[in-house]
Amino acid sequence: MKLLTKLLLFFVPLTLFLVGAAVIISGKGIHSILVDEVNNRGLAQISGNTKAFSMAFESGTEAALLPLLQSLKEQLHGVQAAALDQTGRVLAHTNVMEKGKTYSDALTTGMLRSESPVFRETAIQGEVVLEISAPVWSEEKEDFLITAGDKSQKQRFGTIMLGMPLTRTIQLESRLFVRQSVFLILAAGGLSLGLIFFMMWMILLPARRLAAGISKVSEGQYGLTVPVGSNDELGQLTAAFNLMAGNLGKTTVSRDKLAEEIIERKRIEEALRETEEKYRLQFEGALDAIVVADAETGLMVNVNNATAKLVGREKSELIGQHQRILYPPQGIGRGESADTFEYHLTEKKDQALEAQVITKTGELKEVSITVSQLEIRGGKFLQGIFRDVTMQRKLEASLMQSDKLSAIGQLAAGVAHEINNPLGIILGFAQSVIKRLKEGDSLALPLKTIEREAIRCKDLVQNLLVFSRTPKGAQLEELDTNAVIEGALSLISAQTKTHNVELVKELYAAFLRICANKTQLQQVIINLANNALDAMPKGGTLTISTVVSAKQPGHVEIRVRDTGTGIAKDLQKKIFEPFFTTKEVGKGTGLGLSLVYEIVQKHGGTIELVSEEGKGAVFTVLLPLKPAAGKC
Amino acid sequence: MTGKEKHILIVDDEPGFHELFRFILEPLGFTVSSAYNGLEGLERLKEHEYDIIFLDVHMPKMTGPELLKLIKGIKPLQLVVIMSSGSDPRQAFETTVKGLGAAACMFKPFELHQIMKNLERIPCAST
Repeated sequence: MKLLTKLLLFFVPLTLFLVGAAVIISGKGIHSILVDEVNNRGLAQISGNTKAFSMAFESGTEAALLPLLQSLKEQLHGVQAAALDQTGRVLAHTNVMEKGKTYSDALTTGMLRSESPVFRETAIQGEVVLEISAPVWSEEKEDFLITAGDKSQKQRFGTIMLGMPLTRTIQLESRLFVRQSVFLILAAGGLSLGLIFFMMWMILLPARRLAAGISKVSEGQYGLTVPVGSNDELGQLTAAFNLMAGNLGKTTVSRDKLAEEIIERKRIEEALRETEEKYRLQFEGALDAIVVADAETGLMVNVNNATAKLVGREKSELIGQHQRILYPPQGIGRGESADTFEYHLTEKKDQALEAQVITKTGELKEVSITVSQLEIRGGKFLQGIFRDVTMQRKLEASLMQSDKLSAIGQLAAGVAHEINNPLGIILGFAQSVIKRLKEGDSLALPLKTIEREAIRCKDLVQNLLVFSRTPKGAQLEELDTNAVIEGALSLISAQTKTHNVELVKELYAAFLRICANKTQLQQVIINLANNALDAMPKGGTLTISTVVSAKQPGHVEIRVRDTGTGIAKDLQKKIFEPFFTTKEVGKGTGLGLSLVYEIVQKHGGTIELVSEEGKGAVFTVLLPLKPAAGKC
Repeated sequence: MTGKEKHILIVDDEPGFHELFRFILEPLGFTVSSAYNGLEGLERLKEHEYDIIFLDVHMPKMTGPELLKLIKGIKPLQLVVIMSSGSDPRQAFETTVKGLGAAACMFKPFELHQIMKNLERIPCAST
């Protein structure tokens, strides 16, 4: 309950009580004053006629008393007047009926006994009357013979009972009373209010300020001060509160501030989480393999999905392992020792490291690695980003090859052109001289030799020109791979028999549609087959197979495998180069495989070699399958 | 082949071929005239009638095919054998020159029998 209400609850009854009391008291005051005035009037009249009354009482007769009483009554406008003797007997009464009665009630008896005037309020015939009783004494005789000390010896004759009407008095009294009361109430009310306001100002206001201050502080506005209005308990309380609020401001974080801090912290956390999420997305979403390894131990602490894909292992197989498991062991692949990150960083910072990685199945892939140092929470790490450049390298190689071949082709064409003339002349002369020789002429041998060698030159040049005549304008048509191969095999099978080689065909069961030039493709097969036969001088097995490629979707694989002498690793790279031949002088032009390479390239395919010395060789030609719709 | 002396024109920038043809054909009774480029060939044409003209392709000033066109313009029935360098794509080239009016096409280095075969194209009719 509010203080004001309490104050009011206290003050109002108090005021009412006090006002009530005051009113009542003043009321009573008014009454007695008014009654007194009536009494005095009565008594004054009586005492004015003391002598007469004394003398009349001495006689004791009604005739003497009554006129006096009547006069008294009239002059005072009284209700009645009576004279009683000491016993209470009515000697005379203005109401003659009363004469001779004796009033013996207690009040009257009391009045008779009283030595001084007494009055009482009573009702006579329904009217409120003030009954005044005044004792009558004997007269003081002037006596020259008064003995000393006995002057006041008097004798009481009786009592006069005077009834004064109070009606008008009462009316007056009422009016006065009302007036007085209203005044009192207003005064009291005003005073009360004044007091209340004063109290409020003195107590409530500071209390309210304090309360407001407290509530503000509780909401977090530390450091607030409430003005101290007074030196009393409230003032002390306020001062103490200010002190407390001040301390609170210094030692406590306000709720608002706390909320701010929490929001800030949440924001930072959110930002951090976002950053982590971004990093994680980049890390996992990267197409290149990213490997993070401990700089000191070399153990991989984190790898992304692309890494797993690159080396064909699960992440769990890699994390915790030394990063060397990514690289081919000594002796495999290029045979270079795989540079560790660290070596690379110290020696070749900022350069991409060209290396090979090895998959779980032993497949080698060319990669380009960029390495950087990371520091995470005090620990040193190395991060390597591996880009699979296997395809790129192959493409580069074939492009280089292509360029080489193209250059050589042009050279060849030029040379061939120049050579044809002299050759023609040599051959022409040789043959025409031979024609003129007689049987058994000794010049026949040298001339015939000249002719033979000239023809050989012609064939050489032809081969060279076949090679230089790059299949640019070659017509492509829709073909079934197997049909083309069968066509070539019919030529090959005859040879295999003579070479003591078993020919095995593993052809795909269904149509393998390709866009190709029949002649050229057959050239390729024949060439490869010939090489295979040459590699098996003591016989063996030649296997020709066609399959849908598993490692390159949308392609057909034509494989030519022999069980011959194989090709050494260091020669494998050079094998497609023009003029490279392992055959004896006169046996091979070295143009066959480079032509094969060129034809395969122009068909949009690739050729690969897998071989080990002494373990035969497999040439795999990959050609794109023709989609069902459209033309070649 | 006997009869009236046959006249042959060789148009080639390579002197060796002229020597070769003379060596082969003069003993057989042919007269061999020489031109070393297309323009000279035209000159020779004005001087004589020829039973056969052997025409090289790659020559300065005027190539064989160009001269062939001109010859055919003047003498539509002239027998001309083109001698191409083996470096020209065979089939297509042969078709082209025949379309221009050549009777045959030889690819250097050719053999003796090829020359003899083409000589047989010379009609034996004499007037």
